Formats: sequence, structure tokens, C-alpha cells
Amino acid sequence: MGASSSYVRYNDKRYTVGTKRLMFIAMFFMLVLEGLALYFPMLLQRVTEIIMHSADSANTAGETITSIVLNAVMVFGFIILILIVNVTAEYFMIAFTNKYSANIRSELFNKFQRVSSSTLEKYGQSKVMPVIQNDSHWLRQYKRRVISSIIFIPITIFGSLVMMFLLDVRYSLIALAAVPFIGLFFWIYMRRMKKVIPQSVQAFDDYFINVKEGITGARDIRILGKADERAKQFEKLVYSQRRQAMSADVGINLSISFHAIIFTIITVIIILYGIHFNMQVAQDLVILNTILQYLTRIQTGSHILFTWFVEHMPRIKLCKERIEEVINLPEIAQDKGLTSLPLIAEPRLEIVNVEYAYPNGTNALTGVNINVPHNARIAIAGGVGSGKNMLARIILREKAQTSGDVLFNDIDTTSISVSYLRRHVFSYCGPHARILTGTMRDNLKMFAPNATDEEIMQLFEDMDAIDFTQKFGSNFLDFKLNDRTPLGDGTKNLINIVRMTLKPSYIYVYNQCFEHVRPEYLTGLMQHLKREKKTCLMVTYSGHICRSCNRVYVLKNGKITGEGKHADLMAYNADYKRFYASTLGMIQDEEINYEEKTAQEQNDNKEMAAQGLDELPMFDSSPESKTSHGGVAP
Amino acid sequence: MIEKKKKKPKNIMRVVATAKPYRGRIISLIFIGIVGIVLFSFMPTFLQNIFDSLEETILDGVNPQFTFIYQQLIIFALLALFNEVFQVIAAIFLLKYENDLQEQSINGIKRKLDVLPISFLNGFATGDLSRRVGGLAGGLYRNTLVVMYRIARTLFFYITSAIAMFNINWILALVVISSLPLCLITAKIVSSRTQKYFDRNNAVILKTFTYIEQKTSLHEFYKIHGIEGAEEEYAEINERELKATTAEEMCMQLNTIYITLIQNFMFLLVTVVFGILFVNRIVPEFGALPAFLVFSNRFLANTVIVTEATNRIQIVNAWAEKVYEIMDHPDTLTQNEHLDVKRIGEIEFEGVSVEVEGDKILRNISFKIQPGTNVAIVGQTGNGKSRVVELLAKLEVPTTGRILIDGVDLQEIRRDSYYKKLGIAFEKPFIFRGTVAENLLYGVRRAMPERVMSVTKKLGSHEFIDQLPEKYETELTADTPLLGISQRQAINIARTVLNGGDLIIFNEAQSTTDTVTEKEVYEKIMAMKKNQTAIFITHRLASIEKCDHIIYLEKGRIVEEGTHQELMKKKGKYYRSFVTS
Repeated sequence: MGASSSYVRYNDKRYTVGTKRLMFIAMFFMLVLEGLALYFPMLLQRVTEIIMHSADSANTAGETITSIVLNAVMVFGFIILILIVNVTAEYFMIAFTNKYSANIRSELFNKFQRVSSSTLEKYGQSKVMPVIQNDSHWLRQYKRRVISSIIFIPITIFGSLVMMFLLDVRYSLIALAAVPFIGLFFWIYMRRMKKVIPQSVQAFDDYFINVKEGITGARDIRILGKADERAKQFEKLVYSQRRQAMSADVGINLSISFHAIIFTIITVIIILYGIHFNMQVAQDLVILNTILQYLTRIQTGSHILFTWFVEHMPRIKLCKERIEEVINLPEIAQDKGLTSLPLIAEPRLEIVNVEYAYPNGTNALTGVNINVPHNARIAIAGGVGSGKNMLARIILREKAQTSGDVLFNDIDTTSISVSYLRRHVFSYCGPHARILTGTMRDNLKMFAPNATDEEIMQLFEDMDAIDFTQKFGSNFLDFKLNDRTPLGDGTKNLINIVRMTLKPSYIYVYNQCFEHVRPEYLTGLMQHLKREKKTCLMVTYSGHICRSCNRVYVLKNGKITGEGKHADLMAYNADYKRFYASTLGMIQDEEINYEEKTAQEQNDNKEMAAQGLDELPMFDSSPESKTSHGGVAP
Repeated sequence: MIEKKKKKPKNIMRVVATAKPYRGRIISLIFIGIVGIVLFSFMPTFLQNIFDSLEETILDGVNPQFTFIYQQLIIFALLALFNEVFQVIAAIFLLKYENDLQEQSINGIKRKLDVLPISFLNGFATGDLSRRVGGLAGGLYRNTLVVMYRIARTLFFYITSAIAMFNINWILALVVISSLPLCLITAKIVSSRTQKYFDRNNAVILKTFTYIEQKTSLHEFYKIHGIEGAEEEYAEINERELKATTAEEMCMQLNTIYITLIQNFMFLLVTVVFGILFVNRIVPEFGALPAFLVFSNRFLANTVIVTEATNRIQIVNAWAEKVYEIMDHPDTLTQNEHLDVKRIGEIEFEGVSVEVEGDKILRNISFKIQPGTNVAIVGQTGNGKSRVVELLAKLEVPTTGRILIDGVDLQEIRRDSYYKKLGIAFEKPFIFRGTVAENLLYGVRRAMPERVMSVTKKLGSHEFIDQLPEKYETELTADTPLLGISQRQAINIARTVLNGGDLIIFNEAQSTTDTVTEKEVYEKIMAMKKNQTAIFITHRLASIEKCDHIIYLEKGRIVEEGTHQELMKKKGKYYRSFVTS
């Protein structure tokens, strides 16, 4: 089988783990089964011979019938044997091919987990599912075909031919005349299918991407007046996909009929030959009968072989290429950092002189110093383009800083493995809340599998958000969600905040996730964080959060232009004042009774002072930031 | 469950009914198939005649009747040839009609999706809808036509074969026909016991799909939380799929196994019964044996087709339920459309209420928007602002009340003409496959590529576009990691501004940016626009101070309206919201 040799690498160890034993057992039983099936017409012929010779035999009708029945009992036993072997062979064959396909699925799935998100994006997210589920399925079919080809084709086609040779050489030679005709048909159609099948698979991919895009972008497509245009595009894709599929199907139908016609002609020739040259005794008639049975087997075998070559081979070649493409995707470099840390009682975070320069030389961050002491809520306030996001990405080690350090309890975070850092050190609540398909409970417990329902509800209560949970009916935690559930940003953000606050971690990083969340919930959140003594860094442009934080760093154009308590910044930092005022609207602080609002903060300050946190320098000690403060102080 | 089962037979009949325009063609197709099958059924008779003649020659020592044998052989070959020709013609036309119907069905459901209320579509997960449109809608016809064709053919095959067989020998005919109930009963017993394995596998695969879909679409999300590999988790899921698929496939194979068993058994039974009849001279010719062996083989092959067809009916019923769930949903959005709109002038909400499953989302809202003005609709999240936009965008219809555009009910205005005059930027923008420039100009009716950069520069999005690898020519997809959410929103806003139109709506279109930027961008838009009506929906009140009219919504009602100054003076809800946000 030259055909299977090009796929030898699919016998690679990673795909064949635990399959070899199953394969050999399956092959053994398939072999036995085919052998038995091949012998079956011969066995039946014995019964036929008794019948045929009953006229000449000296036995009485009763004796002949007894002889027929006795032989039939033996044949029946043989049929039962075939059944047992058939079931066993099928079981092992199915177990083997499915295991093989599961191995491929697992290889592919795990590969996708090891590549970076941008690599995956470049590859195409929508191709992931087809390659894991469909291509592995096709390869499973391929394995089955290879095994059955190894067993079935030699035994069914060649075995039947051999049996025919044993019965009568001349009949067999006539049967061989079918080979060139069928071969020619194979060749013609295979050339065509080699073109059609890749086109068909491509057409299906395009069509499927279009379906998905049409669903996710349904609203925008309508409003942009593109619904009709896209519907026409879609119709074209459907047409091309259907046409390609039809082309393949027609081939199979033609093959069945072509085989039937060729084999009818062969049957006619064999009969004609028999009549003229090979029909002397009754036995010859019996042989002709058996020969025709073998011919039917060859016809079936040949058609299966045709389908296999013409339809499956080009498809499998494509699957192989598609799988190969995935296996060759570049993986994220091995993460060599620390994978565990001793238990830390008082976690803290320091950002020391961090800089980030884009490849074109412009700086996203310049000399950023931020100190997040244990049990402190520290805010970074800044508008669009201030560098907040970049800072968050550097903290999470999504981006590597050009210079400077991020220290977690004096340990350089670059020495800690990325996954450990993100899993255990930080709880990161980002701006883009994602909802998983599952219940609300699944969503909330995603990073805190041990959290109890009571703990979850307690957090909502602490956040004064019980009314929020009531919006979902009586069974809030069992509320079912999917990726299209129309939840507002505020709802999604709140779910995300609770999810990340529940996660057991050292440092909680909240990055612009407070949008649309009702202020009273945020007040509750801040009180909860304080009560639980959580160490938090809050990247925000919410004035509400800034007011409740122990310290605020003002970030502008990648630089810290001020730091201190909200009240002090309001008094001395023009950037912050402008920023803060804009988040509340152009309204005078006096008008909203600033004193009243800061009463709570003053209490906080006292507490902080008691913990010694107040001794933190009011302003950054770097000369650069001093200048900037000096410049803007009223 | 019982109720569902009762409904099922209706589904396939509905599918058949929708194929009505093809009725004539399908009937002629079935006729061709039947002619083929009639020819096919009589083939073994001619084979038998040949064998009988040969037997006579050998046993009785008479001269072979060559003319008769040749005649029989020619008829045998011609029947085979015509049968195959008919089969091929029938198969090709079957595929063609099947194809046409599939296309029609897929396009039908796709068009239906385009006119259904968006809230209805949001009840389905993306993967679910993709499967219904991409797989089930087309598959319905493929299966239904095949079932119709095969069942019709097989029925005729049974009838004609029975006639042919009874013509030769009724006892042997009965023996062969007995395989039919034997197979069907066995199939019934096997399928009733194996159904649970099919159900289990379906459920397992659906879960696996959801899992993989989630792991893929949230790839970046998992990475950022340090969740990598998931090898063990997937290994468990994969193992479950392995077990379920193995069990299902084994059940499927049982079908083939018992047919093989019955086939072999029938060979034996036909031979033995023939032997008894032959020995007792009830059947004097040997030729009946090969003929009946062929009949028995074909009978069983057709029985396999029938058992397969019953499986397909079950599939069609299950799929049709999913497809008709969408097709049957009333098309409330476009059913009353009959007018084209030339311009969008005055907009009036006249006692508009929206109620969804008993939940009152909007309660008797009335307001007017004068052409060319800037209007803001504000209020906390969940108070009905977005629903107002969906109504204005013809994505939903009011439960009661009317929306009038220059005095004409919006429900009567054709979508195509209306959307030409409307632009909306939503909070969750969609990025299409194509370059940044193509995205900015997507759906832009008056294409003015040279305006693109001037708009993006004014609105502040030029800077980040300029930093993209290929700037305006950077290729994007829906999930592109190149753009953050605020950047997607910026593209969307620029697209809406470029699009022009008489009415432009910004629905929380800058929710991920800061207030300063939002305010700046909105004020620039107000300054840039000419004679257009602009509606701004936001929860950040500082951004919309300069609007001509502000509507404050709470619990689906308008609680306050007026200019910023008027509302601030009132010191009511707007004021409180403004100072405490």
C-alpha cells in the first residue's frame, strides 16, 4: 500500500499511545473474520453439492435431507462463529480508532493551549473547532480504512480471486479483465476529486466563518444596511459549498453504477464462457454459482476501494496538512521562573523606576515608581494614553519593561513563572469582563473553586449588591448564562469584580473594571477590601474609587505627576484636580460638600497612620516628579 | 418529553411540505428510480432461466438452447445497464434538488435571522445558532429527500421482488420475505436499547464543543489569569468523549453486524429449504437457488436502507425542531413595512411601552426630537436607555405605542431606506474581516476615503491606527488582538460619523474610555455634524452637558427632561446623579 506509506508519520508515538495492542487484536480478529467470510461460500457449496447430486445419489430423500440438515447445522455453527468474531473485531477496531482519534484531539487541543493568543489569532480561531473535531474524525476513518484495507482488500479481492482460481482458472482470468476498466475510472475520477475536495473543504471553512460573523455582528450588519449584501455573499458561499459537495457525491454514485455495469458484463462473459467451454457435469453448474458469489464480493470490495481512494484519500491528505499546520505553530517559550513561593503573610508590591519604550523610540512609561504596601488600596489615576494599561500589562508580565523592576515582597517578578504569578500572586480584574457558558455560580467560582455559596452571597451583601442578585430571580447562583446573554457592561463588570475578589491571591489588581458599576456597590467593595485587609492596586479613572483609596498616583503621558491622598492631590495637583473634576462633571467640589465626603477618608487616614502607612512620602522623591509637582502646585 | 415525542412526526411532514415547489420534479425522480428498481428486481429471474436451461442441458443430456440463453443473457445485461442508467440519472437529480432545497433552506433561515428581534437571537449561544444555520437547516433536506426517495424505491423493490419471487416459488419467496420482519424487529429491539448511548454521546459532544469554543474564544482571558495547558481538564473531557463515541459507534455497528448475521443465516435457510424442496421434487430446477440467493441478498441490502431511513427520520425530526424554533418566531419587525423614507426629520415616541415576559422595560414613554438637535438619553444601567435605541434602530418593536418619523409609524417604514439615513455606534462594536480602512468605510454609503483620515484625526483615533503594523491597511478580524475594546469603539465611532445619515446615535459608544475623552469626542461630533440629529446615550453626565435636550430615564419612565442647566437647577434626580457619579 503505497498510499498509506506517505502517512507513516501518523504512526508517531504521540498519536499511538495505548493503541498498538488494540490495533493488533483488531487486526487479528479482522483477519479471522475475513478468512471465515471467504470460506463461507465454499461451506455453503457443500450443502449445494448434496442437493445437486441428490438425483444421482443412492440415498433416499430422507437421508439426503438429514445430510442437508446436518451440514446446515455445521454451517449455522459457522455463522455463529462469524458473529462472535465480527463483534470482537468491531469492538477492538472501534476502541482502537477512537483511542487514536482521542490522542490526536488531545495533541491538537494542548497545542492550542501552548501557543500565544496572537499566534492563535493569526491561525484563525474559527478553524480550531473543525481541526480538533472534524479532522481527527477523518483521520480516525483513515485509520479504519487502512487497517481494513490491509485485511479486507487482499482477502476480499485477492482472496476471492484466489478462490476463483482454485475453482477455475479461466473464470478468474475473465474476472481480471475488469481491472483495466476500473483502473481507468479510478484514475480519471481521482484527478478530479484531488481538485474538488480541497475546494470543498475551503468552501465549507469560508461558509462557516461567514455564518459565525453574521451571527456575532448581526446588529451592526443590519444597521449598516449590509444585511442584503451579506445575504447575497452568503448565498454565493452556500452555492459554492453545496456545488463542491455535490461534485463529490456524484462521483460516488457514478462509481456504484460503473462497477455494477462492468461486473454485469463480466458475469455475462463468464456465463457465456461456461456455456460454450465449461459445462459438462452438474458440478460445473455448482462451481459457476459459487464463482458468481465471489464476483459479487469482488464488486463490493472494488467499490469500497474506489470510495476510499477517490473520496477519502484527498480529504485525509488535507486533514494531514491541516493537523501538521497546527503542530508546527510556534509555542510560547518555556516559562522557567519559580513555580512556588513560601507562604507570604504581608504581601506588598513595588514598581521601581519602570520604563517602557516602543520600538519606534517613544516612551509609554518613564521612571514609574509605585509602592503598594500590605493592606493598602492604592489607585493609579489617569486618562486615555496615560500608560495605565501598559503598566498593568507589565505588572502581569504580558509586556516586558525596557528597564526597572516590579518587586513582589522584594522578589523580582521576572524570576517568578508567569503562570504562577498570574495564578497565585495576582488576582487581575481587567476592563474586558468575559462571561463563561454555565451558571452564575460557575462564573463566580471560576478562580475560587472552594468558595461556598454563603461566601459568595456574603460578598454581594458586603457590597450592598443584594438588589443586583435579585434581578436574576430567586435562584441567582443557578442563573444560566451564555456568550450571547445580553448583559450590560455594568453587570458584567460587577460579576468580574466579585469573581476576582473571591479569588485567593496576594495582590488584587483592578484595572478599569469599575465602569457602569453603581457607586454604592463600589463603596461596599472598598469597605470589604479594607475589612479583609486585601492589598490592592486600582488602575482607574473613577473618582469614586480614588476617593476611597489610601493613596493615589497620578499618571499622565507615562509619568507619575503626583501622588498622595485624594484630599492632598485635590489641593496641590492640578492634573489630578482637572481629572477628578472631569469625572464628576465640571462641578465645584464645594458644591458637593467636599468635607462631608472626605470625612470617611480622614478616618481611613487615621487608620493608615496607625499602621505606619502614613509615613510614606507624600511626593515621589525623584527630582523629575518634584519638578512636575512644583510646576503645578497652586 | 412525552409532548416533544408527540410533536416529532409533524416536523418531517413540515419539511416535506416546504419542498412543495419541487413536488413534480421529486415525483418524476422517484418514478425514474422506481423504473430502475423494477428492472433490477427482475434481473435474477433471467439468471435463473439461464441456470435452468444449463441444468437441463447437463442433466438431461439435451443440446444447449443457445438462442434462448443468449436472449436471456442480453435481457439480463440490458436490464442491468438500464437500471444503472436510471439510478445514475435519479441520483444526480436527487443530489441537484437536494442541493437546491438545502440552499433555499439555509438562505431562508439566514434571511429570517436578519429580520428577527435582536433580543430573541440573544437567547441563543453563538455556537448554537451557528450550528442551526450552518448545519441543521441544510441537513434537513438532505435527509428528507434521501428518505423519501429510498423509501419509495424500496417499497417498489419489495413489491416487484415479491412478485418475481412468488412467480418462481412461493415457499422460497416466503422464506426470503420473512427476513424483512426479522430485520425490522431486531432493528427495533436494538435501537430501543441503544438510544441512550446516542443521546449520551450527543450530550457529551455538545459539552466538548462548548468547552473547546470557550477555551478558544477566551484564550487570551485564560492566559492573563495564568490558566495554561488545561491538559488534565481536557484529558478528562476527552476521555468522556472517547467512551461515549466508542459506545455509540459500537451500537451503530450492531446494525451492520446483525444484518450480516441475518444475511448469512438467510443464505443457509434458502439453501436448506431449497434442498428439501429440490429433493422432494417440489422445485425441479436448480436455477431457483442462485436466483433466490441473489434475491435474499438484495432484500437484505434494501432492508438496511429502510433501517437507515428510520434513523434519518429521527434525525430530521430532532433537527427540524431546532430550525423551526427560529423559523416560526413572528417577524414583528418587518411585517408592516411598505413605505420608503426620504429623510429622518422629527422623531416622536408616542406612549411607547415595552414588556418582556412580564417585565416592564419601558413604561408609556412620550417625547419628541426636533431635526438637527443634540439629544441625550441618560440614566443608570438597566433603566431602558438601550431599549430606546433598539426601538429606534428597528431591532425591536414596542409592545404598545408608536414611534413616528415625521408623522409616519416606524413600523411602516422599510428597513433598507431607513438604515440609509441612520448611523449607530454601539457599546460593543463589531470588527469585520478586512483592513482598518475597510472597517472604517464598512457600510459607508457615500464613500469618501479621503475623509477618513480627517475624521480619525479629529476624533483622536488616528494616533493608535498609525501605530498598527500596517496602519490603515492592517488586516483585522472579529477577535483581533491588535485592538483593545476602546480602540474598537473608536473605530466604530469614526465609522458612524463617516457614514453620515440624518440620525446618528451613540449608545454608550465610549463606555471604555475616560470621561474627559468621551466629553471631548462627543463635543467634537456635535461641532462637526451638519443638520444631523444626534442622540447620545451615556451614563456619564459630564459628557452630554452641551446637548439641547436631556431625557433622564429611571425604571423605564422619563422622570426628568430639559437642558443641563434646567435640570441642575431642579436639583432632582439628574442633579443627584451628576454630583455623585
